[in-house]
Amino acid sequence: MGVQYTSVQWNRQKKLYDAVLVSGVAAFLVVFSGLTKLLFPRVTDEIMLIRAFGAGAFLLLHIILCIGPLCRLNSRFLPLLYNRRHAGVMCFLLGLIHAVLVIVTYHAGSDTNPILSIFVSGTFAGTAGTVPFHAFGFIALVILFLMAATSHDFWLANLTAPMWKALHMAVYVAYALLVLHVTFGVLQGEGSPVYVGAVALGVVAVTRRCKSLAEALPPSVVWRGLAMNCETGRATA
Amino acid sequence: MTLALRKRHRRLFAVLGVALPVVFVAGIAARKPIPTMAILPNGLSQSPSRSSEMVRDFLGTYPLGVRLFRDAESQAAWSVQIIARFPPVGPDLLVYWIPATQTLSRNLPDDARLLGAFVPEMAFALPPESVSNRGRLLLYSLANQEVLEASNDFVAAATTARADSPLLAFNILPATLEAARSRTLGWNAMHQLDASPRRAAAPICGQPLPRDQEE
Repeated sequence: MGVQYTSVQWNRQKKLYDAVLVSGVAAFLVVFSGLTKLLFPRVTDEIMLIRAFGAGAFLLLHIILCIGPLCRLNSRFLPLLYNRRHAGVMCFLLGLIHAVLVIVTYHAGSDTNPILSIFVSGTFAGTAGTVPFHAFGFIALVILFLMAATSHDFWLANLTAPMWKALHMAVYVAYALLVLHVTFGVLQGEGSPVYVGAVALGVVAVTRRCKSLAEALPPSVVWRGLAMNCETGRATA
Repeated sequence: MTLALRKRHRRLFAVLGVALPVVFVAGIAARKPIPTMAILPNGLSQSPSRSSEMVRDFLGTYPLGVRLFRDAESQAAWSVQIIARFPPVGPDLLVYWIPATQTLSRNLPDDARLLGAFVPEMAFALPPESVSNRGRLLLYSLANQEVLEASNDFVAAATTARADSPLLAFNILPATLEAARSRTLGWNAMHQLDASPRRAAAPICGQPLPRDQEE
């Protein structure tokens, strides 16, 4: 006898969830690209796509991180929590496309290994504009990859719950690295306060709200879902 | 296990909740404006001669303005100054002059004359043949190896004599055009407008614009 795993146990809710997720991401990419072409007509298509996928991944990561606290505040957000792992995989895929486009555009074409180029192409000269922000993004992408690859009951069961949860808590490290990636990357060149304000809003939303909720609510409430998952060896989403 | 995770979670947020906003604010506060070169290296720049001037806008749909200068001492020496309300996006931009007989394409013609590396408000000396021959300005991206923008064709010496030329009738910088319309100004008056103290204080190659030198 043995447990037989299937790749995804599809049901109506999961299909609906993924349809909404994919539609939302596609709509974001279309609107972002359209606005970029409208407001910045000289931006090349590669840069437009790099920005669209990067912004999409970053925004989706904010949503993913805020889903948990929002569900504790209001049960109407619970449908977002269901199958959140698919949103995480989507976030990784968006980040991967962003990274591939960046590597092809900026790091390929020389005799230096493109991956190595990410780490050696910039020299830190003690200023904010010379911080090697590409490296932050690459490390964050590796973390997101590990999380996406193990977002399955098979890995939850085989890695054991503590190990699996410890690995997936690395999302906060990935988030911190991505904030650094954005702060010392695109925000160094873009002077508009709109971009700065948007990122600042996201940082405050993720760090302060999650922190305050974690401290304010009793453990039985905050960790009820987690404890159920870990004790049963299965995730709810 | 739950308590251990909760402790780890709390420690993580204790660090992130403080460190991340601090680093973010520090990173934003340490931003510096995109550096520009006040003076280009030799071979890529030519200082404009002291001249009289008028305002023109050559570069089609893109919001670039062009001022045309004529040297006050040597009437045959002309130069252009490109003013970008919104700097063009493109790596390693160079400014070229080409004869109007050349067909425009993404590639740089063989007989294009390099005027210099594009720096907003930098003035470039026009080649002697542009004074009497019709030609146009090109904005060329050296890194992308493509022509980004081309101006309308013009003859440097002829533009001063034709106040009602099509070049003057459209493609002028909107702000300049509005000012000219509101005062019902002609070419000579636009010359005055351009020689106002506000304009005269604008730098060219690190030097203030010469005050009005009427022809």
